[in-house]
Amino acid sequence: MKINGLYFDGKSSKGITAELSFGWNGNIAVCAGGEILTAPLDQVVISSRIGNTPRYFQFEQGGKFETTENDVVDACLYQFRPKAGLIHTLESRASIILISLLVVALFGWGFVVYGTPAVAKFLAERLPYNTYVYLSDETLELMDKRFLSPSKISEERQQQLQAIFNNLTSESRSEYEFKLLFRDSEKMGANAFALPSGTIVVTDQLVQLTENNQEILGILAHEIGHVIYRHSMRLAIHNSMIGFLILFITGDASSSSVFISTLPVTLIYLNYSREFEEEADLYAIKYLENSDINLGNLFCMMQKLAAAHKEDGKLPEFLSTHPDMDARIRSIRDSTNLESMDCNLKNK
Amino acid sequence: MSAVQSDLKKYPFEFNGDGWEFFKIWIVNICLSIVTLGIYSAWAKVRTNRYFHNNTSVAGSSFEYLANPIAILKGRLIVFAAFVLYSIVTKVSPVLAGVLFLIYAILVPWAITKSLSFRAYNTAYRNVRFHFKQNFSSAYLIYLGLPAIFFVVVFALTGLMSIVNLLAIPVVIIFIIGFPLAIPAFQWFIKRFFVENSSYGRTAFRFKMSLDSFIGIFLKAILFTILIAIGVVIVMVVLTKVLGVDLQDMQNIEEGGASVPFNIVSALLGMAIYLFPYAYVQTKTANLLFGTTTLGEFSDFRFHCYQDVFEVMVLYITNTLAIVFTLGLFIPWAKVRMAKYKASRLCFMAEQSIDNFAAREQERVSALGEEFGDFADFDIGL
Repeated sequence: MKINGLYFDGKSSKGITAELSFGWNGNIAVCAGGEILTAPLDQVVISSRIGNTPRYFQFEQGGKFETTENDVVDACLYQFRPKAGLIHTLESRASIILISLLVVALFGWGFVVYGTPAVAKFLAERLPYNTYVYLSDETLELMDKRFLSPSKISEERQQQLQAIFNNLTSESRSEYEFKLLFRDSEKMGANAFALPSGTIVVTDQLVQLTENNQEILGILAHEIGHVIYRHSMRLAIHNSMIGFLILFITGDASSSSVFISTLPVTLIYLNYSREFEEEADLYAIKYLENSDINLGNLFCMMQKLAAAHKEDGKLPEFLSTHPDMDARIRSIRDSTNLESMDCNLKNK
Repeated sequence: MSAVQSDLKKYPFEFNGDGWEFFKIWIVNICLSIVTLGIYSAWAKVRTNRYFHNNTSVAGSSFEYLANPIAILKGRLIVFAAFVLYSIVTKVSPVLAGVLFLIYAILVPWAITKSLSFRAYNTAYRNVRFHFKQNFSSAYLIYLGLPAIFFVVVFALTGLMSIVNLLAIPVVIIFIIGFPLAIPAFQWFIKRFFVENSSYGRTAFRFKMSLDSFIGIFLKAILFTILIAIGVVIVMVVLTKVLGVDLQDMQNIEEGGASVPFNIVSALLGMAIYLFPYAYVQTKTANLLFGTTTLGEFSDFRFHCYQDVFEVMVLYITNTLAIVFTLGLFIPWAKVRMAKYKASRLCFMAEQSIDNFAAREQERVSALGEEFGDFADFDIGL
């Protein structure tokens, strides 16, 4: 069988039309411009096949034969080296492609769902506390400017709640400097949020919604749960990892666009943060149980919050990111073992 | 009676790859890299580069990629070891870590040069290898010297500004004018460093791009950005008035304040601000760079590159959308589409025979160079 191609001597870019043939004894002969070059097969480096790209026969003295007749080359080569081109064989089998696709999809899914949260947790637990304090101060400053104003709750009530809070935090592992702050905020409504350093902010609107101090206790315990599990930092690290991953995937191929890529981030974010809320709920439940406080308080408080926010259609941080709010309330109700609860839902 | 006979021959570049074909190679590459805990990635890189080189052809011959995967693997292991060493040292002593960081920073220009050299040496066309001269003094001047000068000037001017209040306005004006000039000027030096030290066999490439034409592209891009941004702001204001969207709500995206369609529209408009200028800079730079580069001292051998801003923009948008909606599976097709487009808009122009480019004597790039060749994989688009 003859293979057509071009021969280059390696001294200049001049190409000569040439024919290459495999001898029965494994010798390779190239006939180029009236001259014949022969070499034993094992002294010729033949490039492996990739897709349908040209093949090169590199001869010891520097000459090279280039051809696009892949199938003929493979057919000739097969009698001498039946195992050559293993990778190309893998790349051409439908079953291998399918298995590869599954492996890659499984790995990608595992990395996003289990890998990145684990790395985020690992990093968040090792960041120095100073970082948390710094970030929290910055955030609080920004929130004060944009959403919050000084509290109008009476000094007396504040001190009362502060005392409960101190009691609550003195029992938890204290590598954190827990602090309770009161702020008025029409924009955020009845709301509470935790900063990673351990500062917990409660809005006047939330305090007004509660009837007894035990109700607010559940909310505070929930927020302390967020702090202890370092949820906000884990979320921040996780988000930036996913963002980076997406940039890496899309940027590599199209050198553009970060904007559209934020969509999947939001979806993953929603799911991930729901886990955090459940974790904080569990922390609150465990705390209330240990302190012999009726879990019904937490249950009622959540119902009240949900009702209070139904009107403006916005959910507070405490409840947001929970498409299945009802499920959470149900799971708390199950823990209370109470069939009926009288929650005194205020109707405006 | 014909006038002076023109021997000009045009050799268009071609890319013959196929999306599905590359997808198969790509997915097997990733799968084997995962299964072998990353070791196969060196072979994967070689196969990918070979696929793109071999499929690019001009004047009936294709490009070859000859790198040895083992060399690349060694390079990756060394970089990995350097990274591990750094993270251990940071735990032990911050001062030592600082020193190590400084050493790494000083090594960067050296590594860039080695990498370019490795890449050129392992690229061949018609059995003649490319070559990149290891010009370390230029590399250090450009990658360490120029940034150093830049920062010294910035610090000096800001210092001056804080001491002498009267100078505040002139200094700010210098900054406003200076930054848009300094960044493309830096890019220009990098491109010159790359082209001037490259050669095909014994024939050197020559860089004939003027600094002002290159800066001009960037200044126009800045102008376009400002104009588009003004247009986008006007559209947004009109939209908010018409739809009655409260801009305050926009700040609470988490709470789902603003309507979703409005968010999508504003995201798309935001994209328009940077996408057009970005595509503009990419295409015009490629066209100018190829258009002003010659193979050899004279213009007997030159290039003609004629990418179109809007065609490239459409490619960017469609590729990105397809990648996002296929969760990345479209990447191989996106790469092939891009390579096809770039090749289809590039021409090699020869006024003499292309048979006479002489090869260099076989000289290998040192083993150490090969090992560092893959260092961080510096990509310089040419």
